[in-house]
Amino acid sequence: MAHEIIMPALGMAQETGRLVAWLKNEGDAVKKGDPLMEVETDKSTMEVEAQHDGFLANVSAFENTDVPVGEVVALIVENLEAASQEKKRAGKKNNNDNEQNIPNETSIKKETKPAEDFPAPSASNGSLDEQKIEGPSFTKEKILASPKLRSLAAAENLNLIELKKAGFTEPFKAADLSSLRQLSSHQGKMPLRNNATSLVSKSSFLIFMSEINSASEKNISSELIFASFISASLRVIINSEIIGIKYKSGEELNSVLYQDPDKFQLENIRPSNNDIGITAEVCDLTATDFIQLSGDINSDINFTISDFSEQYMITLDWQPNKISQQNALSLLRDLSMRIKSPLKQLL
Amino acid sequence: MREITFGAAVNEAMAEEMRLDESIIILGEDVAEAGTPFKVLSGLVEEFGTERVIDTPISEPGFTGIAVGAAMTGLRPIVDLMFGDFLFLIMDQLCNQAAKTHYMSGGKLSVPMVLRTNMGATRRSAAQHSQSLQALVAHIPGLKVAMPSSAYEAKGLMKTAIRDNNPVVIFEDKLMYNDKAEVPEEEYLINFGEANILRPGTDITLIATSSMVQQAEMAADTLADQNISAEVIDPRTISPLDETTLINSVKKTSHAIVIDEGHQNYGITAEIAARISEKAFYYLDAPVQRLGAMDVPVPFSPVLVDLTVPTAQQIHERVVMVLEGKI
Repeated sequence: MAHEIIMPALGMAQETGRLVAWLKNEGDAVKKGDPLMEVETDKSTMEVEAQHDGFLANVSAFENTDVPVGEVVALIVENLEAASQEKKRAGKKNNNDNEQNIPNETSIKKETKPAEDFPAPSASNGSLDEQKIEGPSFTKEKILASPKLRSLAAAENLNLIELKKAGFTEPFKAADLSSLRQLSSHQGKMPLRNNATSLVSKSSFLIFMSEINSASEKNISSELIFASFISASLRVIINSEIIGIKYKSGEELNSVLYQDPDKFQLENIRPSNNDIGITAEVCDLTATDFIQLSGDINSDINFTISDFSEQYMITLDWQPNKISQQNALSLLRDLSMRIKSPLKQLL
Repeated sequence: MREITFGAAVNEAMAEEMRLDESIIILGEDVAEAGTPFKVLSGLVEEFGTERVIDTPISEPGFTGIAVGAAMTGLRPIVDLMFGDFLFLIMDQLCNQAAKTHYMSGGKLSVPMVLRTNMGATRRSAAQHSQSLQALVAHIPGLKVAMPSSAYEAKGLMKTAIRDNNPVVIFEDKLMYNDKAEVPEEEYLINFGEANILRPGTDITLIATSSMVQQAEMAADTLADQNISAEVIDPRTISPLDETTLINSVKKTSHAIVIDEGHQNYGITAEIAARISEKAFYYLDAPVQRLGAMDVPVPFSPVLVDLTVPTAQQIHERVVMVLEGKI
């Protein structure tokens, strides 16, 4: 069993040590604690002691040379025969490096797992657990989207750029996936608008209107009430500070602008001349025979109210990249509730 | 099942272990007759004597150093640090000596020491007696950090800590000592590195430590009224951290908020958020949120101090913001 003697690090930043002198010769018997060599650093000269009993062998560093810290300078062997064996082995080692490497290679091979153990990535049904997740590499243009959406889109081979082109607001989230699918199937042309229609009974509304009108001196039309209700619903769902409603009504569908009609007493609602943005348009067909009208719609949110026998038909038509489906349906639901049970709303 | 207070659970854990192993001793200020100002150690000196329950002079680095040396030479000391804020006094003994001795001695020496201390503000104790410094010690390799969130955790984690041959720091919320929870009569241990899912959920993961677990649970209740299903997880030990449970949860919910009473900057929440970002990135639908104590010295004014710690309401509001895509 040969023990290595190395050039010790005698200081913190020391990289080499100068071997000043050997104090023992090759083949000498040494005992633990015997000084073996003198080493000089930039600070001092020190003796390095033997850590084991034995014989000094394989002295490989010369006096008055700088030896890198950690390098082996000699060996302490158990007996002199071992000393000569070490020398032979050292000689062989230099010549036969190849032979030494091969055993290592086979041992390394045993440690790596065979390829079959790793599950192959597959874009099966978009399930995140089963595949290696990567973002799409279709486009270099910077698109802000959540990692989750990127994974889902990549799984279905959809390109997020379609969302950007269609004007959806970044950052895109998982909730935008359905819009992305729609866009991709329509090849980039968004079906112009989505819509939903509800039917509500008129009866409570008519009672409400007659009560209000008997209590008030002014004539309060259904238009004012509709405008007020629509504004209130918008305020709840869209959470906007100022609500502008472009209200078209009558046979000629003349339009007026109402600003925040829900904030006023019904008898005090007046058309406004202010230059405010239009939050929603209303097409009130109740005075006509029409129940439906499309085209000539400019705003993101458009209501149509018409008479349908004993009911009001309320259609909400919206721009899908400006308001989510969830919010749009909440909006229609909220307005329908107000018209269906106006007295409850007062409470 | 019987219910006992957090303080009683800690007391039981220590007493039971001390009966089993004579090498366990307790050192600290006012630990003997006074049983600590929080009365958690009452009765121990009567049972185990002043040789094992030792009142020390007011010198935190002194008695911690004694404990480190005692641990290295065969005892199993529990050091009682009266306020977590005093960690700053013992950092060398704890972080340079206790934490590193096993490694630096090539495994020849061990430091089976438990440092029992507290955290938690709003007791109106001001800036130097209200800090939650778990991040400070979790940062140090060689230290384990446990944060019991109820009496059940307190007993189980304390026992595991005492039996561990490595230095363990346990942070107890000083406002929880009278809170009761179900604690079995039979012996049980809680392994380090195992998180607890208090309630399963599908919409968002709330990861909370110590008393913030209760805040998260309250938030989860109010969120359920709004049809939002929050999963609440208590990591129990910060180091080692049960990453697997946390990551699997976030992979399921795609949203996470981490809540801890330490300061938000450079704290526990930041570390856990970073690990989630590393290992569950592609599953996230929104950035991971952190809720920690405000980055100010803890105020003395009751009105102000109450504003600086995360509350169930803040958690609720943050969840809604995350899920509505406002973040």
